[in-house]
Amino acid sequence: MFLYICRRIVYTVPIALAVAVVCFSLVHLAPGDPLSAVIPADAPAEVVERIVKAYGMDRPLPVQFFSWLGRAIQGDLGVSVATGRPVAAEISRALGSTFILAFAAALLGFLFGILFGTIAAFLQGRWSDRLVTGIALFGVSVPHYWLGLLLVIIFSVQLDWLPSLGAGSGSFMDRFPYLILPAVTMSFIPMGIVTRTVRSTVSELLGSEFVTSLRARGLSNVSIAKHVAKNAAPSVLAVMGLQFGYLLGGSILVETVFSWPGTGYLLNGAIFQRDIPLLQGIILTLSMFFVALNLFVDVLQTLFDPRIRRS
Amino acid sequence: MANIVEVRDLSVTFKTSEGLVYAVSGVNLDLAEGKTLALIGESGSGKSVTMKSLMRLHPPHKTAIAGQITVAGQDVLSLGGKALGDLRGKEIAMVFQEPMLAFDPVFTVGDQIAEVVVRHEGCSYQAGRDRALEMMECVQIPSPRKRLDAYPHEMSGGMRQRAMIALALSCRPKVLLADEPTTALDATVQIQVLLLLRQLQRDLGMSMIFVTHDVGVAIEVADETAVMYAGRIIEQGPVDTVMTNPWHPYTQGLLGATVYPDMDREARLVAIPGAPPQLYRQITECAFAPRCPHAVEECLQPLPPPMVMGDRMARCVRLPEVAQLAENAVTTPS
Repeated sequence: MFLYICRRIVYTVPIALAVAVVCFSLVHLAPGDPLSAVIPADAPAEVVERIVKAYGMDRPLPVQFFSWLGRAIQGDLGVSVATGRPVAAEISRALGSTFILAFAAALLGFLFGILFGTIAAFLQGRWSDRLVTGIALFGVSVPHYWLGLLLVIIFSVQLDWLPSLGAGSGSFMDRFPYLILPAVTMSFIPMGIVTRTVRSTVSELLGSEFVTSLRARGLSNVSIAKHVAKNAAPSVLAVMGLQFGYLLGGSILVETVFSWPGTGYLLNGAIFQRDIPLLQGIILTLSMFFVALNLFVDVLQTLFDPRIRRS
Repeated sequence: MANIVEVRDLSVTFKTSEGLVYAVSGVNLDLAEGKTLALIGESGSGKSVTMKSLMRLHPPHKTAIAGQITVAGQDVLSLGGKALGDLRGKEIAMVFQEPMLAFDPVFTVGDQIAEVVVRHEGCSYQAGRDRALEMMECVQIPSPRKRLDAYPHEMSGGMRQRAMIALALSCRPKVLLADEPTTALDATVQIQVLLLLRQLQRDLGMSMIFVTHDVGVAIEVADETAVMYAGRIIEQGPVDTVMTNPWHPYTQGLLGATVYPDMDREARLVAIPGAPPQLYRQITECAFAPRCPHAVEECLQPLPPPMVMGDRMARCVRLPEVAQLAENAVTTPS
């Protein structure tokens, strides 16, 4: 078990390295000169040369990469071109907001996903199953920025119940109303996907021979549900981990719609301002969270299913 | 002697997307205490369906069960959820065909046995574990203490089936249902598991219903036998007399297609021509008639009531002349 976890951590290193390479090269693959935002169009050649040198862009790419990576590992992601503040500080400030939003959306999405999926699996083919499956389909199909706008129109503009912009300030209770609409909006996709995963996993398990065997042992429905839950956990966890990763990284549109001061909002600004160090820093940070999350889910899965440890 | 299992006019119908399937029709069974009944028949003849009905294990919303089933004095078909749970695993337990599929893969074998003991005897988990160990010793699993913490996939096929037997017997059931318990095992392991089952059945004084399509196995373990075809029992009686002198043409055909120890090296096995009928309609005439070498016009009329003579029963229109024909023609295993 311990060995498996160690091995799994070692496997993560090349993945993380590859992710870093992609993050770094994005800047050079994107059309246009990465420094065009910094250098005034009419700058004399010698000024341009000085700026290029200051950013280290005159060195060969591999050298640039490793010096960038070396500093990144130490927590130095450079300085934002737009604001002049350290990128790491900008990101860590935004990360908190993103985490709160992702957690809230995940909590809602996973809770309802598991609930709906279980109902659908137990009542397969009946109207409640169809209703829940329909909601799940709506959840995965509807564009969430559109859904966000719709919710804003209904709950902020028409009913004036909830704020539509920003994250608020002050105590938790003061800020809580700001969280509701973006969290609900973002919860729809994980809710839909988790519903479908739970439904198919649980219904397959319910039809399996071992559940018949559990019934034949006289076990109650509660005990059988315990067995089914432990069997369903690995595949449901895998999907939930992936979805949480998407929530962390993929909230650009929703954060922009609600002006939520998270990494997605920051990223959106960085793209428009061609703020290269900030862009690289955000993408690298979010990717690393994704890698770490995958590792966490993998390890968690082995706790539920002993068969994974062997293969 | 009192009957521990009584089945009267059992019919099981499944609702499928292609319509109703009449899986079992008008089955009657009696099992005395301490006796073993072998349920013989080919795949799809209704053996397993009958067995699962005894514990009401079919999915309720897709299954219609009619008739009467009494196990250990209880009317199985009218029991409520809780009472049914008390019966299952305690009074009547089942050994499944494929232990790999019948164990929960993510719990240890010891935990699964202990769970059942705790469920039925209300004891502590530790007491359940102790019973599990005792049962693992009882079914002769080597180094049982270590195996308690093994997961099903960490055991060999034979050991898994022994563990399955340990689980089924852990609450000392009065009736054990064994659904082709040796079919999924290697030939060498088959005979060990078979002998173990027979030994345990005798030692514990249980009654056992043993489903098999292997005539040799039936002779080995059973006192009584019932032969099923297309959802009906077509012949029933003490295993030795039925096997030495089969009445029904289907039983005769089955025996003709079976290898036995003193068989003539040159002899060929005779296959029964054709295939069993689809069960999408209720078959009221003799279902075997289309494949039967002795079939006549009246075999296509609705079946007459079972013909009972002494301790034997058979459902064939042309009895007793067909039985007489067979006695002269068919060589049977002893």
